[in-house]
Amino acid sequence: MAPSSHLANYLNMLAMSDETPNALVNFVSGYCETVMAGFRERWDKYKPEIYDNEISEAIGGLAARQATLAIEIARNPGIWNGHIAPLVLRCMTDTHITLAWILGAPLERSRDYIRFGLGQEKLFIEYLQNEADQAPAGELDERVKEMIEMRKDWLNSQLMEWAIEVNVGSWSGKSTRDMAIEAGCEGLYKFAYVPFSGPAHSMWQHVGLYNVVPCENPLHKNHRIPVIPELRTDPDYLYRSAKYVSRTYDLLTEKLHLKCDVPLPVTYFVDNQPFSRADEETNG
Amino acid sequence: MVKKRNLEGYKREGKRFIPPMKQLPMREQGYVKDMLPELVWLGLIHDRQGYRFGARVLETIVEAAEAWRQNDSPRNYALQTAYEGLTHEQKAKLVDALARADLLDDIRYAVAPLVLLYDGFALSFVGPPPTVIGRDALIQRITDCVKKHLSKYETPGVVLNGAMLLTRLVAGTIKFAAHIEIPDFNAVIERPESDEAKRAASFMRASAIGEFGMLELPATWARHFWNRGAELAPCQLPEYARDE
Repeated sequence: MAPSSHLANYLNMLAMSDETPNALVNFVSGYCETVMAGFRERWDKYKPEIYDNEISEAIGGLAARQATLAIEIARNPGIWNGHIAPLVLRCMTDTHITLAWILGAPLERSRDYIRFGLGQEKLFIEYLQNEADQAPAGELDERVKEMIEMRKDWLNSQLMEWAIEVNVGSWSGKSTRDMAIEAGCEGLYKFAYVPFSGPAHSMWQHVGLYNVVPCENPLHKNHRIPVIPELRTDPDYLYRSAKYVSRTYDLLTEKLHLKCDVPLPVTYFVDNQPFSRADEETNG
Repeated sequence: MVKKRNLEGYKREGKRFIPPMKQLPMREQGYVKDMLPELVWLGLIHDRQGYRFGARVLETIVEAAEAWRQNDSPRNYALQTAYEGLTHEQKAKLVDALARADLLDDIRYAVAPLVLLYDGFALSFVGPPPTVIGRDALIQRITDCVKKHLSKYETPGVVLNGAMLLTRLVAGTIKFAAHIEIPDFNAVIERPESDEAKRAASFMRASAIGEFGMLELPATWARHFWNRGAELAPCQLPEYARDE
């Protein structure tokens, strides 16, 4: 693809705002500030449990992760398309379901969540260590050694390495679907997690739509041929992201019994979005 | 060369791989999470008056407690929870013994952060310091103390672990078999980098965690201590994560 195609796409995106390109820049900037403020407000009002620190670390970390994803997608209009945005959105639905499920039994589930992650890291270190042990003398990359030590330090700062179990199944012992049902997010699972899983795992329901087109040569039995399509940037992906992060903020407000004043990101989006004309075109 | 198997020695249970030490029926104990809150009062004393003063405090307490020891289950007076079940009379006797040994005022100054900022500190019967100490100064002192004792591998943390063993030795409630070679515990303070000090430190840590695990103390104080910390002072982001 010629570099100019990317540029043309981005300029096309800018042209979608009603006014000048500054309107988009200002909107994205204000939106990101709203996401950030919403996260900070909740963290500031939350009283973390320090003795059983896994609770606040898992909940706070996942909330920050959700905010990070929302901000990163907003700052990068070039990925507001069917190729890349679903990867971020799928991750956001996953984050929300995980958080919602943990909030159902915070101590036990946040501990399982963290220990599963430590186990995965431990397993990766084992792989690295065994490869390093096999390396011929003098050929072991010093950076690999440093990486192993750094990762071990990170593990040991939380739980001594010798006490870490490795779980190669699901961290929660349940499928994401079951977690979503238990946490009251079945709709999100059905209508967001599942469809966005296709592009996230490059499955045929996505690839068959986005990366192949029917060959028009009658001699070719209507086979499909691969393409790398240039997609139009669509702010609807940002809107969906705003909905997911807002849903997460609402969940935190309810489950942690907080009273929050900062407008939700989706409210900010609806009230300030500069895409009205483009929306009409998209919806049409 | 035979390639080592990943997770060698782990026991598989379904999709979980259990490390060898976790296959033993052991209760999970953490030095920072559970032991440090119990020992931090001694850390404050060490910070203010030094290790030898701390040892004198423990010796004085153990001697004073001799009077009621035989009628009670053995307590380790290095741990703050050990003072929870004392009667008013026993507490008064301890305070009197500490005053007669000319230790009381320094103890009151040292443990003032725990007496004045925390609820349910079992040694609060020693009383507040004779002069007023500002809240910020108290918070700073307990903050510095916890920071200094966070590692059980550095001398301040090693000495806290050792205090549990010292108390048992003074009370005569622990004995070592003749064939066990006892390291020189003083080396931890006098020659902390020496091999002897490292051996002594390992001995102290192993003894402390072993005893602590068997005591199965309630987590009430430890939980309060850590959660109260979050009320006393806000989170501090590391410099690299701070906003400009």
